[in-house]
Amino acid sequence: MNKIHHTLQQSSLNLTCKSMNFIVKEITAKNNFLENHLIHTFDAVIVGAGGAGLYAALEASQTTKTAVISKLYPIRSHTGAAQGGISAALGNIEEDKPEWHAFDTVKGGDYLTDQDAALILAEEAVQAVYDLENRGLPFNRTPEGLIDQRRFGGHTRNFGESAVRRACYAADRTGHMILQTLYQQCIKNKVTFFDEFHVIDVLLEEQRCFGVVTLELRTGDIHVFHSKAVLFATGGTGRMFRITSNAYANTGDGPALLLNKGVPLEDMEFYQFHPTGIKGMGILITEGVRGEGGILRNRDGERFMERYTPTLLDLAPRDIVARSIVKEIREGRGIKGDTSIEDFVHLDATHLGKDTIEAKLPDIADFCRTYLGIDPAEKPIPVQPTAHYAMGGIPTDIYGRVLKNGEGHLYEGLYAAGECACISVHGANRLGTNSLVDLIVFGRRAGQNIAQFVQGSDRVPLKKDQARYAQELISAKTGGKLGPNPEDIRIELQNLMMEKVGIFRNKKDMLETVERIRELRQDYSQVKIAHGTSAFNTHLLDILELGNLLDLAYITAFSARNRKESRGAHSREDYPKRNDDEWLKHTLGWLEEDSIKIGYKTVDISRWKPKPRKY
Amino acid sequence: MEAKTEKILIRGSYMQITLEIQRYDPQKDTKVFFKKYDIKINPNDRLLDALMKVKQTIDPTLGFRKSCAHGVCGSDAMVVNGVERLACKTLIKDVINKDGSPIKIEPLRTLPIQKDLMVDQTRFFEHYRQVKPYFVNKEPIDKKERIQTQAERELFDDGTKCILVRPVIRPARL
Repeated sequence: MNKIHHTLQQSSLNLTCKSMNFIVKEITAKNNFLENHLIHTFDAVIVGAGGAGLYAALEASQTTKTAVISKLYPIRSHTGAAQGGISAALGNIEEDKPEWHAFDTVKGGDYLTDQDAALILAEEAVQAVYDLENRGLPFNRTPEGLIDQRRFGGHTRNFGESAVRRACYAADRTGHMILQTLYQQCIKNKVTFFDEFHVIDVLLEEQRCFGVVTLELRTGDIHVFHSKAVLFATGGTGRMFRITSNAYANTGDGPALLLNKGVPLEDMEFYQFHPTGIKGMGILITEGVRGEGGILRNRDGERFMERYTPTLLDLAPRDIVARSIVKEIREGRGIKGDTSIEDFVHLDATHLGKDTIEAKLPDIADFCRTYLGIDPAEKPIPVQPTAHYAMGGIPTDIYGRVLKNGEGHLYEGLYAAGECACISVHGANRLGTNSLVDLIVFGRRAGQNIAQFVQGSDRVPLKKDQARYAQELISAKTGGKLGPNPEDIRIELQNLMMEKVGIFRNKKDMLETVERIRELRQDYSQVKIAHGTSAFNTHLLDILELGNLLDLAYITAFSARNRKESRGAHSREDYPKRNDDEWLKHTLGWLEEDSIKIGYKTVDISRWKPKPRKY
Repeated sequence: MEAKTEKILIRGSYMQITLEIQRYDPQKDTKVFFKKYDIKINPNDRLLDALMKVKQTIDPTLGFRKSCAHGVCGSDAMVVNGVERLACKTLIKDVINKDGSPIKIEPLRTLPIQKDLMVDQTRFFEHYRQVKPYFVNKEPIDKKERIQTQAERELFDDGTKCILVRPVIRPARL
């Protein structure tokens, strides 16, 4: 890291960022930082304002002074892009049980799912949906006025007999409704929000977390949030891939930051590709289209899923459907038929009729009209798999508390929930709708645990150089000679991950990728922002996010190279079989300078014995 | 999709366009001004892809908000050729001017400009809070859903679609 230029005052934090091009805001007077509100004191600080962060805030704020920090306006969070539904065994349409939901979650995760956590997920999903509904979430209704439910991939009755209607939904805007409902409830509960603050450091000493350091995008000022507990709920990491359903904001800021602070990340090799993204763009076409009866077809018009998963057909879990699509394309049965990486298949919803599509999938119809110029009631939708969801992330227990290692030791005051966390309820492959269940069930559990923890814990005092790491980080990126072009690094990274650490993987490609990302990380250390002022410097934000993506791609590729089997979303051409004898274990990875140290953690299989995965 | 994924697109379908973008940096400029940027782009790309291309290849200091890139989060609302739009829900081919003049891009009107195409939404969200935008009822959380007919649900459907962009004249999505 570059030599830093900060000047520390004897009696106060100097939170300025001195560099060639940044406008420097001098804060030198004694305790001036307090008058400038650069230090904020709360009981609980929540980083990220999607479903998990907001639900945790809703719980924690009932008894503790809680702040939510987001680099976006909360209502822009990517939970709002979730479309198809949130599963819970309400049994409103047909018989259903939480136990069936839990089993499907375990089998869907190819038995890498922790079974105790999956049971909690399925059992608490029921009340979580009622909670949301009672708070005003406008679900679609049955003719009897109950919450309506539809089919979704991998969700079955009686341990795999046939597809079951388990997904509660609000048209194809279920995530939007959850985000709106939770944000509204947080306003009602007077939660304090810090909008457009980007997290750049966590205060973590001797296993105790006591705050975060952030960059205020509006001013370029550095703010310290001093708290008793911190929850990371920063969402996904999909922007490490070229074609993704993820928002620009999904750069894994929480996991990347913790990785750099010595915290391990769990199961990073398991990354889900959603089978149906709009060709070339990656925009998500919900599995709800197939839940309502949509069919995948190849160039011969054949319903090819009949050959791969004869029982569940198009509603098999996503890893299997995504692989089936790639196989069809590779064998020349894509729509173009040229076996190229740009080839695609058709998602046929024409037989559903205009009325069903407009009533139950209105946004999908809108996306098709806007981006493809077609009406899905008249023409099939051209789709290909799109990078969608990280099963891995910050390791936590069932209360959201972050784990230090595979032996169950915990950090104190440090929490994670939502996509950035790994409990693990999704194992090697997440089922559709279970991401929203995860946010609500485990966001709430984390919020409740934080509220209890804060009551019985003392505040760790701040030291005077608490913002130094953040200052160094910004200084290194804003001062001095222009380095490599960050855009070249980003484009190469996204192409590498897409082509070599995607749906099918092999040793040679992954070795190359790990080595190349190591070099890209070195290039990145020399990257500087070209010029600019401190107010709304989105270029600086882009560069900080790129650094996070590089670190996460590095550990993803490294963990993938390390796991010598195929399980769930991790498919190796050189090790095509699941190998429970050697690999029925979670990966933990620690960043150590230029390399990753690998360790392992036991999988809870106390309920169901691993079996071959057939659908 | 990023603006620079050129190699997966068909070369022949590229076209040259000019964006005329309103610029303003509160720490440097005393007033707003317009600047022109020439880029090559596929006409089926989004206007957001074009803005990303300007930012990534010509001027990284260009300021605008963005996130979901498919019209559901509401971050990238702006005025395009005089009309309020979401940059990610606007295809280039739909905003090319027939007379060959540049595509003119300005920040939303009626809100204070923060930087370039970014406007200050603080007051909008203050107003949002003032209307008590949450479900108000006195019943405690139950262990069951409340019965609501499909017709009752339909009554307020339009209001549920709003993505809080602020400048809209139409109620829901741009």
